[in-house]
Amino acid sequence: MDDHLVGVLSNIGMISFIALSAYLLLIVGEISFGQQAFFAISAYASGIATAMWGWDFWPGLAWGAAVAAAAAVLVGIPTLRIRGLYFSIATLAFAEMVRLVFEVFKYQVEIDGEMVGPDGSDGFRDIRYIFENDITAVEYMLMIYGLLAAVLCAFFLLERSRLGSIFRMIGQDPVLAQMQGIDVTAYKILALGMAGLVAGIGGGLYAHLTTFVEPKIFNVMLGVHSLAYGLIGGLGTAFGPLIGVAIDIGFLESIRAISGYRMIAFGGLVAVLLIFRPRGLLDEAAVNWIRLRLRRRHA
Amino acid sequence: MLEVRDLDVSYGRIRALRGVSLDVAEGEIVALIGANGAGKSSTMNAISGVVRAAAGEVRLDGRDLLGLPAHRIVGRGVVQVPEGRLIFAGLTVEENLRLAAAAAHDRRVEAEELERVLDLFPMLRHRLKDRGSNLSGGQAQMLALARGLIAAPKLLLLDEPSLGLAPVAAREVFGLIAKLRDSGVTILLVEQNVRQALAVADRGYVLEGGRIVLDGDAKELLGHDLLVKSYLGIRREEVA
Repeated sequence: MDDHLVGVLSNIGMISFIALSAYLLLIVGEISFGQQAFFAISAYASGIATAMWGWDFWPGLAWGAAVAAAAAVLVGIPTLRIRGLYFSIATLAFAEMVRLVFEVFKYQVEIDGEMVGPDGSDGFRDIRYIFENDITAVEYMLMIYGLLAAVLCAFFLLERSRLGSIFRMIGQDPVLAQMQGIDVTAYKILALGMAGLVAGIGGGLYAHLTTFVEPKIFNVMLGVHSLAYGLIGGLGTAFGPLIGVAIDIGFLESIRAISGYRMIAFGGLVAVLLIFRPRGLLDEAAVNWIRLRLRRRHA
Repeated sequence: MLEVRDLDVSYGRIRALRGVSLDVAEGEIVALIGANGAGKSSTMNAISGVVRAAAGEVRLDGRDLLGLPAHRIVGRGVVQVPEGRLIFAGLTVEENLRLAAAAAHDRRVEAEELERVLDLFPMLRHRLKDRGSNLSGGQAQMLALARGLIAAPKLLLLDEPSLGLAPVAAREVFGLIAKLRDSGVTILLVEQNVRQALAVADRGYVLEGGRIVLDGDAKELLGHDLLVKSYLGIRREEVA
């Protein structure tokens, strides 16, 4: 497989995690512009664990995702009491705050005569675990897709579970859900924590592939894109956001001839879809139709 | 069973309720009557905790309800069936019912409760796998009622159960309310259809401008001057 293709596929895989995390919050009816914050927190936390504390990759990644989930829950406790647009703005403000904190965050140790660790706006270099342990690009890509498959399975189980139904109830009508005895705020905080964990997995994978992260990567546009992926691909199934990522990263960003026009095409695509398919290509109706067809074929 | 004392509710500067007091005894059906904007739904919503009351007391079996979040009030046995046949359109009939049961019961009881409610609403049994969006208005109201009952509430708050229904479906709903009374469910009922509400209720309260202006036995209220003039829309002679 050629390097470019491996790189593009790895990118699609990693960005899929943050798209899924924004999608999970859309299910409970919340729009977050700030999922890049949890992606960033985990990128730093897992990088610190492997490059500075000498942890292995998997515990480092788990640690990064756990820190991101914990941060998400802490943000959720005050912000989820406010609703709708105000929650969206609060997530945006939080994500910018996180980015600015990383702009000044310095924490370095000397390893083999070199200073390693986050260095404010100069970023965090030498997260070299993958290279030091001779993991090839293809192997790493397979690790990304293995994790993505596991997360997708979790999403499909969730969508069939009672918890998934409760999430959808809350997304459709939070007041009515309350009338059924559901503690809406508690479930939303749970959803936010789960979304933080998923975004965190992506962030940890990202830091180890690029070996270098800097605060400006995690700007608002990353969050806006991850939100748009679900809206493009569809809100009826967890495959929806992945389709959105594939269209944007796989097609618009990676094909050199059109990458210069990426934002124009992307913006146009979002506008056209919002008019003709406001809940995305694979919306609930499309998913039901496909499910019925499949059921008939089996019967 | 339910005691409401001096309940005040405001939306911004608008005062929706001014010192509403009412009682519902166990096994009773109490009707709350009034024009649009009189404060019927505000009373319901304040009892169920969906709306915060500015002042007053709400007690169920002597225990305070006011100030508890809505989901905990459901846990105390007060369940509201909101106005406008609000069901979860994207969920199936069975999911609508099971999720409402889940808050109140463990899984074993949940299956029994589902059976009990389906016996009351036989037409829902054939539609368990259908989505809420595929139900007709009358069916959706039946589902909303069934969902309210599945938690086996001590007190059921019914907000305009016949609103917007075809006459046949409305009659079915009132027939069901009568059936529920016979099985001992306590109900606070808000209705536009004053005559049918008072026919099924034991007692009634009349709300006007956020105050209770009249209360009494349902049969007596049906013949009361004020009610006859304002809500029943017929002349005195016809009643006599």
